[in-house]
Amino acid sequence: MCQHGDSTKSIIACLVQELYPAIQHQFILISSANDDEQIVSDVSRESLFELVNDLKNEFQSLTSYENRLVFPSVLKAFDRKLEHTDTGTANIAELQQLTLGKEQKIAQIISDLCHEINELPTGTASEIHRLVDLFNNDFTGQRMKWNKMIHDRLNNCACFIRMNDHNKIEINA
Amino acid sequence: MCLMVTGDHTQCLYCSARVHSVLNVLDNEKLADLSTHKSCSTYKKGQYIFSENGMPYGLFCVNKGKIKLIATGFDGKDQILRLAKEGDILGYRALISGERYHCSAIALEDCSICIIDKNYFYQSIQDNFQLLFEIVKKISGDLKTAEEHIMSLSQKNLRERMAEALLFLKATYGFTTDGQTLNVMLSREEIADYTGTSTESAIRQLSEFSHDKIIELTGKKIKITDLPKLIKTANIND
Repeated sequence: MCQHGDSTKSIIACLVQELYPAIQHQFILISSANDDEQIVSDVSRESLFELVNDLKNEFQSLTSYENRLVFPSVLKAFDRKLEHTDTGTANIAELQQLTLGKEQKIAQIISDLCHEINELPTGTASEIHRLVDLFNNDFTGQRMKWNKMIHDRLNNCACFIRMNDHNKIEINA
Repeated sequence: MCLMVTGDHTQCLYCSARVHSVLNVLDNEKLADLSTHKSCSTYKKGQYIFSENGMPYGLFCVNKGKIKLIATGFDGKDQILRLAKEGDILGYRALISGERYHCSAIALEDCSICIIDKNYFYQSIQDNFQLLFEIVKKISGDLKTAEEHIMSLSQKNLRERMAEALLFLKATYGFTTDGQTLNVMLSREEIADYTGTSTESAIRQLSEFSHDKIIELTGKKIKITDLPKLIKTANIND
């Protein structure tokens, strides 16, 4: 295994075992929250919950791709012996760009959500506030850590450098 | 339509909301006649104007205030179907189809609403083609809105999500030696699972991509023939 493998595993474990379940739990709390204590106007409630729903979909989509494709591919890359690099390897840089794109979509929804909840009276939609805080603080922090790790490895780790020789980034082509 | 006072037959002719209403096609004589076949009430914020599964007994016309129409979903949660404001009519679908209300109408603020007698309404649309046409136009508009809503719910970003899924698969498995065919063969069910949609929708979306010459389908093989267009469709910016 590559020397960076352990740090990758610990970041993945943090995302999969701690952060993502916490966010999922917050989505459940929102869906089961008492509507009456939530928001003043039903019109604003409708648009707010539409945004929460969009966020949930985007988040679940991101985690689904990561669990099924991205994390296994990255771990596999570190498990590989350098001399056995072959052309069937996943393009980690391209996968990262795709997940970054999804993070951007999430960030946009969070920004819209912030705008919506700022319009509400203080003390309302507390569960949605907590969800936004989770994304703004924990999610953003952990994702930065993950992306930095991938970026560093892509540029410094022999595993990735060898792989990138035959797996060029094409996403912006 | 009129201003408040329960049971009072105030004049529709002078109703300020009439200009926004389908009833605006009626002439003065008809409006005067209509005024004698309706009653008007005020509703407090949160009060039910009619309830889901109730039998319609007339056509509601909003004179003042905002109303939400809600239906109870399978999960027991209320879903707002649409909002009504002054000049709008309510309860016409159930009235015309002779069915019970499929939703409830609740005042979002203090409202003033008139109700036109059911039989008088039936007679009016039989006698007055213009009124009938306005009602049909109103129902057509509602149908269009409902269809757009269904489309947005089922198709929302499906094209984008399918393109994204294909890009993730390409990044993970790469291409075969032809440089265009995905180096993985997935069932339509598996692809649907990635996009978070039904198999039928996934099949339709893949066919649409094929029609747009973005991909070529041969059994389970997917050949990406227009990668730049696929990337653009995925709406991924970095």
